[in-house]
Amino acid sequence: MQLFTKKKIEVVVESIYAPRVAEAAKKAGAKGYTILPNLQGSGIHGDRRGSGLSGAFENVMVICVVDAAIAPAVMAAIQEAIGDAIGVLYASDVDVLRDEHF
Amino acid sequence: MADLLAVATSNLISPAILAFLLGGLAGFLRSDLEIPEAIAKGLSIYLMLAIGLKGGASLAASDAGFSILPGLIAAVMLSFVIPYIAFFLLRLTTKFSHIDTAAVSAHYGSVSIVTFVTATQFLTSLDIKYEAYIIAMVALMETPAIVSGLLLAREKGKGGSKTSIFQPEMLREILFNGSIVLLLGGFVIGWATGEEGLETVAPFFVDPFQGVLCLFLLDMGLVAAHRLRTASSLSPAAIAFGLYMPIIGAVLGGATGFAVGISAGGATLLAVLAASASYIAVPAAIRLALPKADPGIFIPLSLGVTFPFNVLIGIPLYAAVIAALYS
Repeated sequence: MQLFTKKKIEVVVESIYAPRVAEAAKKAGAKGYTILPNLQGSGIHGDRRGSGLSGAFENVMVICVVDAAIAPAVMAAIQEAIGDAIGVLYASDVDVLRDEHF
Repeated sequence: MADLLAVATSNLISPAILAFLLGGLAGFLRSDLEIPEAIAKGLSIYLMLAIGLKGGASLAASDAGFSILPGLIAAVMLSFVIPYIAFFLLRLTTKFSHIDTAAVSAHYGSVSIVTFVTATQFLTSLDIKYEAYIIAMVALMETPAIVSGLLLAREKGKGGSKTSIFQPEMLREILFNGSIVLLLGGFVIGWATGEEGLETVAPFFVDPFQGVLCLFLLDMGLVAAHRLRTASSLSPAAIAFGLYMPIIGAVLGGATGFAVGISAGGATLLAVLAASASYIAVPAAIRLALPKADPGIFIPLSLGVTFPFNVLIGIPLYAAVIAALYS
């Protein structure tokens, strides 16, 4: 079985910024993304946890797996979309089975 | 007035307020009690739709007509003006940055729906009547303060917000955020279907309302305690602002209510609205438009200081003072 190495880009970001991040990633060449809702945590901006209807306190994670060649461009586009918002952005290597999906 | 205050205080010992205190206590004791996020969201959707439905149905049952317009316009004006007062006071007393000052000001001009709901339950328990269309005021007062706050932030041109006020994404957030859609939508449904329509959904939307409010306030107690615990960075001047600004707002709201000729109950609710600070619509809009504004300031102030103050002390105080002035 052949595996293909890709870049997995993960962005923990304020939930209200998730649509911008997802759109930026797609524009920069990502073929898709997954959003994990309602995350909690803590960082330089203090504690982050959701409450009620407002997305202002809630973090989500946007995940996309892309070809290594376009990963820097996707990450740059995401950083531009985040701007000064609260967030963490990083990438790591992952192996996938279905090369044509990414 | 002393008598009324005593009655008012004794009525505060209601299951909903005690649930709020329980949540607060659990939060301070770092209990592992937690209302799952999805349930908290569900409860707030329920509360907003229920209050909208009830308001719309009672408006349909009254013959208010266009006489409600001065009140609605006054409410919008209040929401526009209060941020400017808050901004002035914060500049005078705190060392917040220009952007942070504008962000906090926007929160205090807008309204807290849960504070409002708690106040309506409080008035109902005292048998004090109020005008149905006050509920429309709640929805109308959420947004103008955001515009004022953004204008204040822009005045010095700092923070790169010059172009960001009227982005489509921003407009969508401030005009069609979930709370406004639910309140106004519920209000229209309630108005269109009237008392009969409300009767068909009453077993779900009216009877269990108090119980749901208990659960929601339990969660709010947890959240407020959590926010207050992390508010150690707030200066005494900032915390003082979170306590005196609601009183200034209440005076303005009560006076406006009196000026437009609404009842004592209605004026109390308008005072509560003007006294309360937003933690739903405004934080989201501010995070989008002014990402440099520090949520570590405006969230603890609004949720950790002003919300508990209004729920525990403000509501009975405003009700007692206004009742005394009206009689």
